[in-house]
Amino acid sequence: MNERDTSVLVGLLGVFVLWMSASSQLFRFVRPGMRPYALLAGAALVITSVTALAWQARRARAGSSDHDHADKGDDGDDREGALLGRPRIVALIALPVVVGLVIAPGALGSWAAGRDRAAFVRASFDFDGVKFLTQHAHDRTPPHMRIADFTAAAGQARARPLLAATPVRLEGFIAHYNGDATLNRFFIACCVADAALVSVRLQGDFGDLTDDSWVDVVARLDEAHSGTAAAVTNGAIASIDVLSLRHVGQPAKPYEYLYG
Amino acid sequence: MAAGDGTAPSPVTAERGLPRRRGLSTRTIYIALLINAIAVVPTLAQLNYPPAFQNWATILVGLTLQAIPFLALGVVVSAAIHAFVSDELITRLVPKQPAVAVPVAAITAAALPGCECSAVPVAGRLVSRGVNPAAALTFLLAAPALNPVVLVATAVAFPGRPEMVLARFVASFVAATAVGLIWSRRADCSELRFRGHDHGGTAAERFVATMVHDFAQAGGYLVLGATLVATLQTAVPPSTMSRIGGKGALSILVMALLAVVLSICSEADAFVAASLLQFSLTAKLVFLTVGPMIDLKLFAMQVGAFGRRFAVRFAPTTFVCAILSALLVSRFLL
Repeated sequence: MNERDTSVLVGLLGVFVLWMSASSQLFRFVRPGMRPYALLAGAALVITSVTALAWQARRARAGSSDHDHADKGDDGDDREGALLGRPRIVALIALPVVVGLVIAPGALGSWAAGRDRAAFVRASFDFDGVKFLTQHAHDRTPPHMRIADFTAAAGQARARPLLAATPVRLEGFIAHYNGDATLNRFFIACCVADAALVSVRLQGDFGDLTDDSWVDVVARLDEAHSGTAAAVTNGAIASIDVLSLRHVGQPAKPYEYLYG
Repeated sequence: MAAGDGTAPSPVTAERGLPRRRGLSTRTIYIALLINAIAVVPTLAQLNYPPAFQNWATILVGLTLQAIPFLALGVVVSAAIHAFVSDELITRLVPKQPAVAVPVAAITAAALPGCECSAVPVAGRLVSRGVNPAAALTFLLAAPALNPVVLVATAVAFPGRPEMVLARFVASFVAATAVGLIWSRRADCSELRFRGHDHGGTAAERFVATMVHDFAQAGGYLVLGATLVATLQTAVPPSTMSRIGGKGALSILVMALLAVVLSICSEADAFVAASLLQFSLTAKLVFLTVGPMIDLKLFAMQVGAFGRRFAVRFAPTTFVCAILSALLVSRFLL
């Protein structure tokens, strides 16, 4: 892989990063807070690549041949064991671009939820259920709650009576688990590689809920069907008593994010 | 060690025609690829791929997108070290004695908010500029775990347990310093050199060329690592490993291996560790000490920066030192 091809690939990756971050597709992969940095990095890669190409062309016109040797010397190094040979491995930076365009992967969904259940018990780390529910006690519409926060509160003995009395809004995707319909969301700190599942069981009959369909529910904690506070904290799945259910599209930010 | 182009061999005129012909053919390939891409990609993107394959793709693209800003930052620093920092300055700033340079490198790493992906190219360039390799390696190991961002994240993930932050700091510091000192005693340490190449031209030209080169090289290996991680995470659900759980020595080993396989960013790993309820605090500390120093993604990037022969010896040393250091520290602090 010569210097020009390398520059082209770096520029291509830069364009891909810019495109992912300019559209909201980025949020399917990393936390939203990364967007400015991704835009900056994408722009930096494009500018670097264009500058490098321009200077290479200028040098080629001037008839300098320095860089051909530099590349040759480089290739010589490779016997000392790059995994696939160094110049060729550079081509791998095109792989995420190709995969991103061709497969156009979506957000993690019911397939990942089905296999990774109880891998990590992840709830919101410093969520104060009592405080949240008292603050919203007099709201005219049910307050929106993240499933991670709901799960955290369901594990707090003092918050549970409030959670069982106050209807809240939860949004997530459907996945079936042991025959039960569950409402799920993945919770990520940095990117999808550290995703953990947060999940509640839906009590009641809602007709056909297909896996991966997104719903917005108004619900209360169903204490009778949820384990004890301690059990929920240790990974038992809480149940909700659903008052209303509405089908929605997948939100632009499909996960619950630790850092926002 | 001069950074100039004095080492380039004299021109070989017979080969002048070859790059030109190759250049022409690659241009044809580009055009063909572009036409194909415009015609085919929208159709391919509509297809329904098996969920496991989609899961793999999501993790691969996610890991790459997450790493690119940090890698770009690291490459800017590494290119600046290459193009703008004089040899005299490096000689003046970095102590020659490993016994001094190694702890200094660990402390320097603690002050800089970098992480795994930025540390690799920076450490590589430091070696190429004649910094004591043991010190550069210590920097490589210490930077991801010791920086302020990571320590704050650890404090948030373990509420009410500030000793976890201290334990993580001490364990990582001890492990990074130990590996550095072990490596400084090895004869082959002086042979270690960054597999980068020298560019001629003005400082600005060198900066840009180095950025492209270092980014492409580290990026290629990063993607290789991300591919391995995505494949493993798809083939073996993390729950399988965490369910092995167990107690005592087995749980320590499981957590250490989990850290290697998951390849989670050091900013996120504390939250994952805190979520693994079935493991002891000691096992979690092992997870937090091993992960930022050696995992699949990092291993691939270390192969890229320093060569496979180095990486296959460096990785096990790091792995063992990190586990031992975490066990030692947890005895006193947890």
